[in-house]
Amino acid sequence: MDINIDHLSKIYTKPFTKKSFQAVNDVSFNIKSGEIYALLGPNGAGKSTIIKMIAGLVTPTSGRVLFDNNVHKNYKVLSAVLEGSRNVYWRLTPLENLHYFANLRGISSRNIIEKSHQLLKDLDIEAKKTNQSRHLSRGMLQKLAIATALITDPKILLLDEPTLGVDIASSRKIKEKIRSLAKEEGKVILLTTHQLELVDQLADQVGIIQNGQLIRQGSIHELKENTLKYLYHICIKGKFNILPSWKSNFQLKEIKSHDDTTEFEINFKNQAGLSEVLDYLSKNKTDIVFLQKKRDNLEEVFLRSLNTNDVE
Amino acid sequence: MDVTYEFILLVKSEFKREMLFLKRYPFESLSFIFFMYIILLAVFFGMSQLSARGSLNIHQERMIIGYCLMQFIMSSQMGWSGQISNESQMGTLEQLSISGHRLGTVLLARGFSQFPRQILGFFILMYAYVIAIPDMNLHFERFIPVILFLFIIALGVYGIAYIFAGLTLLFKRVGFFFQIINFAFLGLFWQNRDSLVEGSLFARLYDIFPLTLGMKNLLYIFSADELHLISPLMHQIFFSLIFGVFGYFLFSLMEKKARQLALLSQY
Repeated sequence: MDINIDHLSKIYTKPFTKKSFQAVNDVSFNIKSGEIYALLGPNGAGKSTIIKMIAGLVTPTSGRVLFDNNVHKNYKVLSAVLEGSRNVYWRLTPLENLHYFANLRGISSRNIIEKSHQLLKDLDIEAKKTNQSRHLSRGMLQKLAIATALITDPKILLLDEPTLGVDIASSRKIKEKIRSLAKEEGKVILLTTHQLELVDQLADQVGIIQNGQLIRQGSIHELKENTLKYLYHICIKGKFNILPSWKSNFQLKEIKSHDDTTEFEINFKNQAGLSEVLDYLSKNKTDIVFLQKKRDNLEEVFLRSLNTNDVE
Repeated sequence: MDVTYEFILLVKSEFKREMLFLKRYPFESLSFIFFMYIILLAVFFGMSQLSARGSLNIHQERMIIGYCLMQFIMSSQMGWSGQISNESQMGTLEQLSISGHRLGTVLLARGFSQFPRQILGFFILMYAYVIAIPDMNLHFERFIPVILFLFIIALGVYGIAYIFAGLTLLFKRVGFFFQIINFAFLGLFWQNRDSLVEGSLFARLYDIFPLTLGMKNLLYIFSADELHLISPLMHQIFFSLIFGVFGYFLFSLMEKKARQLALLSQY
C-alpha cells in the first residue's frame, strides 16, 4: 500500500474572533510500501497535524490523503502512536490493553494470544504483562503503545516521537522493530522525531517542515548532497575583505575575523562557485590556513534548511 | 455480518473491561450507590419533618422510583461525557477514533456493556429504600418487565447522553452543567403526571419525552394491580428510538466539528 499526501493544508479559525492560523500549508509527499518517511521540523511546525490528518483525526481544510490512489475511508489499515505514551489504558495491564485494542479493531482475542506475547517479548515488557500499565515507566508505556499499534498488523504505521523518553537499549529495540516492519513486512511508516540519529539510521525519505510548509524533501543522501556538498569552512591568514559578490552569490557566514586570521563558512552551491573562489584566492596569493568541507551530518542539513528558509 | 460481528466483539470487550474495573475498584461503584442512597434518605427525613406539621403530601413510591431512575440515567449520561473528557486527556479517544468504528458506535457498545451494572444499581438502591422505609407498596416481583422497560428507556437516555458527549467533545469541562440538568430531570420525575392538565403542552411533552414517559411506565409497572403492557411498550420503544437516533445524529455532527477544530486530543 502506498500513501499519497496531495496538497494538504490546514487552517484553524477561532470561532468568535475569526482569527486564523495556518498550521499546514500545501504539503505533498508520497510514501511507498516498505519505505520509512521521517518528518522533521521544529516544535509547532505542523508535523503532528499532518499525522493526524492522515489518520483522519483532523479534517484538512484542503487537499487529500490517498491510499493506493483512493481517498481512504477505512482507518483499520493504519495504526498510530501519537504524542508520547498517552495511548493506552493505564488501569489495564499490557496484555489486557493488547486484547482490548485488537477487539476494538474487530480481531478476536483468541487470534492474538501468541502474537501479543511475542510483541511484549520483542519490546521487553513481557515481565510486566500483568502489572497495571499505570505502574510502568514512561519508556515502557511508550513501548506498550507501539505494541498496541502493531497488534492488529496494520499496513500503515504513523509514529509521532516513537522513542521519546525511552532508554538507549529500548530505543535500539524500537529502531530495529521499525526497520524490520518496513523492510521485512513491507509496511509504510511515517515517523516524526527530533532524534536525528534515528532518522539518519532509519529513514529512506526525509521531509523538513517549517511553519507548516515542506521546505525540503528527498533521501538523506540527496539532502546532504544538495545542502552540504559545497559547504566549506575557510580560514585565511591575515585580515581578508570578503568580496561583496560572494555575499550575494553564495550563502556566506563570517565566523571569526581577527588581525591574524579570517574565518568564514561558505556554500558555493556548485562546482563553478567553488572554482571561482579558489581561483580568486590563488590569483591573489592568499595564504589559506585551512579549507575544510563541513561535516556530513543530518543535523547540519536540518539546521541549514531552517536557516536558509528563514533567509529566503 | 462483519459489522454485527465486530459490534458484538466490541460490546464483549467493553463488558470485560467493565467487569475488570468492577473487580479492581469495587468501592467506586458501591460508594456511588451508597452516596445516592444517603441523599434521598436525607430528603425523606427533611420532608418527614415538614409533613409532620401537615404541610406536605409525599408520594413515596414516585419519589423512590424517580430517584432510582435518575441514578440510572446519570450513570449513563455522566459516564459518557466523563469518558470523553478523561480519554481525550489520556489520548485513548484518538485511538478509539481511528479504530474503524465510529465514536458513536463505541459509546453505544459501552452503554450496552454498562447496562447490567446499571440495572443492578437500580435494584440495589430500590431494595435498600424498601427495607429502610416501611409501608412501601411496590411490586418487586415484576422485575422482568422493569428490566425490559429500563433497557428501552436506556435507548432514549443514550440519545441525551450522545448530546452531552458531543457537547463535551466541543466545550470540554461542562460536567457541572450536566449535573444541573440531571437534577432538573429529577424534578420532572417527581412531578405527578395526573395533576397535569390533559392536552396541555407540558402534559404532551411529558408523554413523549422518553425519560418522563419511562418514569410514568415504571410507576405503572411497580404499582398497578393489573398490567397491560403492549401500548406503553410500543410508545416507549417509539419515542426512545426517536430520541436515540436524534441524539446520535447530533453527536455525529458535533464529532465532525470536533475533527475540523482538532479537538479530539484537547481537554
